[in-house]
Amino acid sequence: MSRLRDAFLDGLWRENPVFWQVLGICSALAVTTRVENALYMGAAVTVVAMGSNMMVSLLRRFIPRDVRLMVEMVIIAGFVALFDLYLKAFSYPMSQQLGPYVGLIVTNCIILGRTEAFALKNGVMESVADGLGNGLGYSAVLVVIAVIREVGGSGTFLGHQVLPAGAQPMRVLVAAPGAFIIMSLLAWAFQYMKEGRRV
Amino acid sequence: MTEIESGNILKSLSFLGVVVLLTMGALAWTHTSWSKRILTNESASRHKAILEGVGVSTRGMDSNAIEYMFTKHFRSGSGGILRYTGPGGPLSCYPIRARGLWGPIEGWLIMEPDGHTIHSVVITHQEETPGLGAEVASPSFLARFRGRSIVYAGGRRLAVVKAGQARAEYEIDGISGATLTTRGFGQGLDSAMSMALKYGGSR
Repeated sequence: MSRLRDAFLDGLWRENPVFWQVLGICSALAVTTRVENALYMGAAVTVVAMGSNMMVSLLRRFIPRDVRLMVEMVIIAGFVALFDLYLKAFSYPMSQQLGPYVGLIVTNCIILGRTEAFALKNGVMESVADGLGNGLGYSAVLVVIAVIREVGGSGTFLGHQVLPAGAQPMRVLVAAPGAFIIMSLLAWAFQYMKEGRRV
Repeated sequence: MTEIESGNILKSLSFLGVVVLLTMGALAWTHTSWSKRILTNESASRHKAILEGVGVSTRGMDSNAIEYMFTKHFRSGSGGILRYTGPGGPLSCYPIRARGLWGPIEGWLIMEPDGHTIHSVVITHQEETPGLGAEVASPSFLARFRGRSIVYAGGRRLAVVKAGQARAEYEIDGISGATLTTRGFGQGLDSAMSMALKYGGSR
């Protein structure tokens, strides 16, 4: 049981994919202008990470080593295409909002990294827990950034007005530089809390 | 498992092939079972814009409801023209097909029954640069066309000019930082206006 918990907690917090492994930055910057986008993107990455980890772990004794990266990519691409179809069929406006970023999950290093570094060497349950932890770790970061950007930059939360009408939202937060500034401040805070490092 | 098994390349490639085929099969099956929903959604997202353009609110409507409203209120005429006969109508919608910087820009020029006043302009598809050319689809840009006449004294036609350079009454400011998008959209809009002048007229 503790191995499952470790696999989960490593991804969620101790080795957080965005702040610690510094992976998946591109999409974390791109889709965090609205909290709703961040939630869907986080769900996409979590589902794909769990599914790919599960499949790779199931097949780990059979995957020939010389083609393992290709096999992993095919499995990941399959799950991403599946999620993309799901959004187009059941949540079309969101698939329009996220645009190319769902498809680009294929190239998200978090997922290939987890299948290669974890699922290939561990059992199915641990691999699913690892995928869940990393996916949720990524989602949590996205949501935190998105809350700051949407509330501060647009004055809304999940599309509802939260700032008083007179307050002037900080437009820079919605623009790309705002994403960089918030991301780096949060990454600094994370490292400081985790390591007590004075960076 | 960890040592490289060279010489077994055929076996490895066969394994890869099987994984590829299984994945493709699963995706093809999923796509077939969902394709009806997906097609309805795609069509509804195009029709949503034109419904909003003529003033029918689609707030909270799902794809099927949007499709229902569209078929109820619109009749297609020659040359891709749509005639709207619902509340606030009748209005005529002329297709805009423009060349953007990165791909086609598509939309509708919606005209009042007098034949020369713009009711609204809507964009249903564009692939322009976010923050620059993509502003072509923004409400603030499209609002500039609302209520404008397409013909002016001396046979002048409404024209989209470079941002900040609209002087005469028949000129409309383009999008700043997007000269090529502005130019392409302006040409597409002009063709739609020609159509409106040809097929519209006061009725």
